[in-house]
Amino acid sequence: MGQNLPIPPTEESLLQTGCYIQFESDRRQFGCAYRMFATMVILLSTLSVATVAYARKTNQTVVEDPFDKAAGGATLTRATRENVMIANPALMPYGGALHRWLGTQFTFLCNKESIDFLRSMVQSTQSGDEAAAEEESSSDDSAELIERVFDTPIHAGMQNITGWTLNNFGVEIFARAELDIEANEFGKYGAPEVRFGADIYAGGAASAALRLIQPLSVGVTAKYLAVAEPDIGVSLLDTEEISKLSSAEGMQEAASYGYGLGYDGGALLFLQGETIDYRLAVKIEDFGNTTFTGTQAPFLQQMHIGTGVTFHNSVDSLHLAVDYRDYQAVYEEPMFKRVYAGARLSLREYVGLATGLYQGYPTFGARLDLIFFKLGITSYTKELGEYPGANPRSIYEAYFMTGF
Amino acid sequence: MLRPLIFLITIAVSTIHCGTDNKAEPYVDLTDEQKARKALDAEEYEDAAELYAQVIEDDPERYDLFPIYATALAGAGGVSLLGVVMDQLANSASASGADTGVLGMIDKIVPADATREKAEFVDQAVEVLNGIPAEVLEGAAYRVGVSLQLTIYSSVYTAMIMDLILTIDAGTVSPEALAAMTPEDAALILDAFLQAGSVGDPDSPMTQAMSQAATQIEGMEGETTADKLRNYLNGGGGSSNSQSLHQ
Repeated sequence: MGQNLPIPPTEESLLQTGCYIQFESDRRQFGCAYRMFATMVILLSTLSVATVAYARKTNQTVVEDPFDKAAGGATLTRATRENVMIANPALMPYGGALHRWLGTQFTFLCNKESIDFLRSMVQSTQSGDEAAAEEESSSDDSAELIERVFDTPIHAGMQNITGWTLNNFGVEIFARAELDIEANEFGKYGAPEVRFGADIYAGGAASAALRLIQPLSVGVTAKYLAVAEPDIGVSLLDTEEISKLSSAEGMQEAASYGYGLGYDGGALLFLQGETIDYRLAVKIEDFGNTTFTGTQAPFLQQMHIGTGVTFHNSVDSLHLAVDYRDYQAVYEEPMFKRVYAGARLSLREYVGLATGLYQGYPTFGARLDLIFFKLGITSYTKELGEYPGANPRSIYEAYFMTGF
Repeated sequence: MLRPLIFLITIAVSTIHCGTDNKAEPYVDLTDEQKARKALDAEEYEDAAELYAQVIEDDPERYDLFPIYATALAGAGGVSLLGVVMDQLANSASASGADTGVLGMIDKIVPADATREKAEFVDQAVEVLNGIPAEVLEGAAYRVGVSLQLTIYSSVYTAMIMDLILTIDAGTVSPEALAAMTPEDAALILDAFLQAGSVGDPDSPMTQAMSQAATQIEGMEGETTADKLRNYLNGGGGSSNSQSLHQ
């Protein structure tokens, strides 16, 4: 889209592409803002993407706040303040006071199947004592265990975000590690396969943002990343590969870190009313591609678009949002993995409730804000496969944070 | 603030009421390859095989799909690679035919409710894997796996054919079935042995047992293949020959 547009785009050409966003009722008041915004959208969307090598991370950010996931992962128009820099730096200037957040957040996660598996293991251990008395055959137990392993993907991880966010500036360090182990009766080439995958991201980010005019803000984030995304599938028939990975060198090669510097940029059009706000956001992630040392595949430049509406009074708010991430589909992911939608409700700034659709799956979450100490839980499902229902992980996240 | 709260609760309840399935499923058109994968995961093997066949027909250069297509065909024939692998891990020596002989092995590897139709599926799986050009296979990531798949499928096919024609029970051939064996059946068995002894991993005990049996059958006295096979199975060709099958 927009590849043949004159630069700078004319109003006529923008209208032809359908990218010229019009709010008829606010046209006079916000005409300047949306023209600038639309122009930015078009200009940024014409930037080329050079490579086709894919990382495991696609349209999601390297770290995500659990409450944002509970709200369907739609973060372009509104994000929790702990992760606003990564979600969309252009959100920073709309936080009210100069100081927005200083603190740290810890998140622990695992999938439902892991919990069920552990529970069944405990149960089978208990029943195993009885079974021993009944002299059950060990081969049956082994077969059952193998069958259970093949039915139970293991997914677990943790995340930390520590940062200081001001109205126009922020710094943040973060680390996230998620492991996924699964066994498939039918691997990539049909033979039984054990697959080991991990998403390991660590680094730091600095953001700056400002309001160009009252309803329009822009922000940029520079981030330094250490990334390891091992994705190893070993066929149980492939003795050569098993031997290779059994060696220290083989595993090291498969799980090496890549280091790189990347940039994000965002813009937010914020049409504020007394009880209803409208928001429209665009974000360029990994501007010009984020490349890494070693064999780590680059993070491709993507463009995300989001819109939201907020119903509010002076202390409570209900925010409804939809994000269309990677709208140019540079990662060639299906539509359902690029659309995020949800609702989040803030009550007296002490309680947060959220629900949404994350890659087509329902999400839920609750969060309690006790001024200097906050905690919450989130339930969501991530699709690791290529089509809905192919290889989902139902994940629970529990998190707590301290800060102010 | 009551109205927004009610609204949020309504959204949440509606979402919960819809269950935990992916809500995008009705709106996503799967490719034939994805449909095939979905069918395979659901153990609908014949459907999966048909769909993979379609994908390969549309793009004959998709050799990377040949192994999984063969898996679907073998699944339709009642052969589970996972079952074979686990059996090998549990009792590799007895399953390999190295010490029990081919007849002893047959009881272990012939799928339950084997039929001629199912055996045909397994034979097709071997044919599909043999269809991967050597130069493509040489550098492919699935080279070792394909080699073992060939060993397993060709051996299982041989065992199925033997079992179906000769009614083998606990390592013993039915005398009536042996007497009633037609020349066509005998040729089919010998061909199966020859194939199983020549494809796949040459170092596999299973392949070596099949190859040895084929050579011995061909070396037996008799005018026809059926005679040679009868003599072989009756131990007429010497104890060493018969032992490899009968032990």
